[in-house]
Amino acid sequence: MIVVNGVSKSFGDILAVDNITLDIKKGSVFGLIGTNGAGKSTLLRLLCGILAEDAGTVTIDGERVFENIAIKERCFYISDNQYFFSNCTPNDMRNYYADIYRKFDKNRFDSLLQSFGLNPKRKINTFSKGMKKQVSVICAVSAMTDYIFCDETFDGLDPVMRQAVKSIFAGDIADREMTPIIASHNLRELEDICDHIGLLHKGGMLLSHDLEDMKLGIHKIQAVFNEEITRESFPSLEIISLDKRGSLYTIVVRGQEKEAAAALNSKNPVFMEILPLTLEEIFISETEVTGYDIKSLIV
Amino acid sequence: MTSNRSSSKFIDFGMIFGYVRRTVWLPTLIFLSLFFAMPVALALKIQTSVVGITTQWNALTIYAFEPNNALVKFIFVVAAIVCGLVIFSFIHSQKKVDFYHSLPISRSKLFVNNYLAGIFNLLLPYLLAVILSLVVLAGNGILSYLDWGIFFAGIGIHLLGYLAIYSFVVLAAVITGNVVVNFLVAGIFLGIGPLFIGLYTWLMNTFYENFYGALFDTEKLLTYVSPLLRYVMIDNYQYALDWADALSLFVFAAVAFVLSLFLYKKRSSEKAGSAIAFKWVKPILKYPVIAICAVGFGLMLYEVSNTDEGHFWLYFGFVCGGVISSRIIEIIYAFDFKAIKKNWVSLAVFAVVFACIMAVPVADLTKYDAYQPKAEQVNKIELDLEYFNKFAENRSYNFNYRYYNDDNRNRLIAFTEEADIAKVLALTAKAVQMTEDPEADVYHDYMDYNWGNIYRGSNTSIGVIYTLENGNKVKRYYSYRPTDLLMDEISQVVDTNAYKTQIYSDFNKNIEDIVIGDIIAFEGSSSENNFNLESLNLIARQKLYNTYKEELLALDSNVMKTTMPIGTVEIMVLLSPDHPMIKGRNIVLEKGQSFTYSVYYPIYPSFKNTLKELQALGLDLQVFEANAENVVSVDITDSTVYNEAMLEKQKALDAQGMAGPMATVEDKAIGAEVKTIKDKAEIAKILKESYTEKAYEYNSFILPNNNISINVNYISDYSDYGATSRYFPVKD
Repeated sequence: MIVVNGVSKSFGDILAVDNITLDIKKGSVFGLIGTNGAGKSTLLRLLCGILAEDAGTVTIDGERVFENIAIKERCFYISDNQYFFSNCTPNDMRNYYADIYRKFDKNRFDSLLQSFGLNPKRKINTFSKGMKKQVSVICAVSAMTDYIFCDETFDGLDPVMRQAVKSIFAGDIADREMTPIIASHNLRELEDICDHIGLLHKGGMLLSHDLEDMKLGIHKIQAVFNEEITRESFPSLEIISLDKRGSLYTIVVRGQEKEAAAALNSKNPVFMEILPLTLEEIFISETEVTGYDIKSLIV
Repeated sequence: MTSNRSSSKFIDFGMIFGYVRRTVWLPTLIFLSLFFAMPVALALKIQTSVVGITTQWNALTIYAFEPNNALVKFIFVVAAIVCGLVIFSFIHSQKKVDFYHSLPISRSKLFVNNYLAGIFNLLLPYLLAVILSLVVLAGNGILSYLDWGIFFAGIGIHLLGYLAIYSFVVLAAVITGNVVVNFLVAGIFLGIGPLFIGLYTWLMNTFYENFYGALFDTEKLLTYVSPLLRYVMIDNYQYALDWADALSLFVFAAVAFVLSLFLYKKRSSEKAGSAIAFKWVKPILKYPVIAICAVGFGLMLYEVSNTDEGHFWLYFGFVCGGVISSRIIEIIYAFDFKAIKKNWVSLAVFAVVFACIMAVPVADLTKYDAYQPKAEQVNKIELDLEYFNKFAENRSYNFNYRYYNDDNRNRLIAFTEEADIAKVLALTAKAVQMTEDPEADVYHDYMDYNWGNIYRGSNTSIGVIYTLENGNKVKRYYSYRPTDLLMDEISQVVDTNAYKTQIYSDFNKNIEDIVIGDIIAFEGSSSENNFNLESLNLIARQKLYNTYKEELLALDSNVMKTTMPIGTVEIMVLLSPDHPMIKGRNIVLEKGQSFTYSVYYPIYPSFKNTLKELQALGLDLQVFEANAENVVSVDITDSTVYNEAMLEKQKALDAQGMAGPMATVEDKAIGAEVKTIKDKAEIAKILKESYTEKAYEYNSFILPNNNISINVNYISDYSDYGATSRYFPVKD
């Protein structure tokens, strides 16, 4: 478990991370969301021990990460712009990492490389941006670490590869409780993989919630009624939004699903369906409460 | 330890060679350079040399390996700088720092392995070049002549030199965040010490006429403030590994390594890309550089101006040098031209402190030049009459058929007796008085153009270290004082027992450590005027040695003022194992080998007993004289009138505050009168009234009239021993 307790980090006069506190449970998929400059990369670099905290502490399973070799052996950091040795091939990187990480699985590396259709003997500097991302992900999952820190890793991957990477992550999470921490400025990228989201803004953590908890409390219902309805028609419900397109109403409500359905059924809808919420919709709902315009904070 | 390989806590050879492989172009380039500088150069040298005797083979075989090989030194210096910059360039790239610092490798281990990779980058190609050079020697059948002491000394010194310079570049890498700034800071680290000393000496020499600077300390000190100079200026009379040299280079490397490692562990990863990684380093680098630029610029303009407005240009240079350098530094620190506006207040504070410090030499606030301690304040005086009795200080070292001159050795003669101290103080008081004396000073000022020397006959420089009763040491150097004006005071000092016993210290030795070598007359044909006494047995040697010693120590200035020596005796002194030339150099003298130095001492006609003993041994020095019969003609070049005219012109120009007549120096030859004399009687008169150039070297009390030079043209089968150039003595 990663515990971030009141961590701050400044670069000169710039406060990049401001008094952040959060917990990341083992086996969860943690998404760090925020605009450019929100502090995502800095927080990731603090989490994996590249940077030392100015204040507060970052611990993994109770031990401080910075300069802790035993802990860092359980972490793999995939940078936004991953470094590869000049003129090296995927095989060179495999051998290097195999020397560094005790649990590095060379067979897995070879097999994944083959699955992704990457030539193990081709120089990495001749690869496209997406292919380089694939190599770094393959290195990361082959290192068999408990934690993988991904900085904008899905950016640049095509949809097929993105899905393939997500599948590998899902498999590792299920098999060995791997914990990916994924930073992205794109909420939609994380939608179908994260189970916990932290929203960063100007170095501070705006919110951090379990996705399931968030989903359980918010419901999107589409319905057609014979009569005109307004928010006041359902005084027992906490309605977050109510839109009407033609005769179709889309209502987002906070509360128990059964209670919401019962309240709406009391108006004898011609049609009614409870739909899953997108991550964006959940965030819009959540941040509205705190007075932020979420659309300006996420893509 | 996390690596799968077997490795220690800090050292992982797999990782090190991984680094070396990834920068393989570096060892390749180094090898190519060393390949041509060592085995190829050696092979060419062997092929083009015509040698046949052991001595020359010895000198030839060590060529590629010796510590003094300038080409190898140059390659090592460049390699150390490039390797330091390249190997540690990763800490200047955010991308690379993130990569390396995210890995489960401790910073100490990462640093140590990178550091070692930089060493192996050179070590591997160097060893290969060494092996190939040995193959070249073996291939030519001369490997057996190789002096293994020098071989290992060379390898040791070169590697330590590399290590020291490389470590300083690494230290610069750790405190900077950019490769260009790294290069600049490495330059500061390697050069600021020598620059500081150089500028200090320049400043003091400019404003203090009697500054005691370069004469004794500067060169030595220079080598201890920069690993670069320590390595480059390793003694040129190196026989084997000098442990002092080796230790000093090792200390340089160790200090830089420990400091680098400590700072690397403290260094924030995010500093990659910035100019300087540690805030506290900025002023430490900035202000010394500003001070050096200000002083350097000021002195340069002061020297160039060379007029009464010199002080204006000095201050102008101080301001320009200080402001320009400080603004450049601010721009570099911020990587932003707009930073030119930053930190003016701190610069102003620094300028005030700087001005206060500079006021001391510029205005001579401490009355430095006029300083003269009172006799009761002085505990001891050490004196160096630099150009006086110079012969006694010139040593020629001889080891294993290799000869080295040590002409720059300065001997300080210590005076502790009250009477002696009074005599030396009288001499230095006269020298101080000349500082302000226009008549004496005119010759001093024109020494650059040689006028004073030509006109006066010769000059004397006096170095003094006063040890005061309170334990403080005060040093002064009175340079280029006209010898004739100081003759009386010098006589008083030279005639003291303290002076004689120290200047002739070779006569304090046991006879077992002394060999009497060549006896040479100044006059006569070199085919007959010398005699070697090395084969003298102990008893005969002891007798001659004691006789000569007695007469030399009895020689006083009154005799020297009226009589010229007629020849020299070579005193060869066997070096003891603890002599600095031997100690620490791993020298083992084999049977029949000796390590000696030679000094040539004068023989005066007044040394009756010595001459008598030499006569008994078959050499009568007195029979050798300049004989007109052996001379075809004599050319006399008389510049007296011209030189006097030029000196007057010089004084006139000086009175007008104008620069010296540099342009007229070449006219000197045109203005001189050259006369060729063939008349035997006239030649005989000239030869009788003049002395050989060599004779003047051994008696500083009789000054040569440099205005009139005599060139003797001998008959074709006459073998000359330095008797061609002659001078008349200066007469009152």
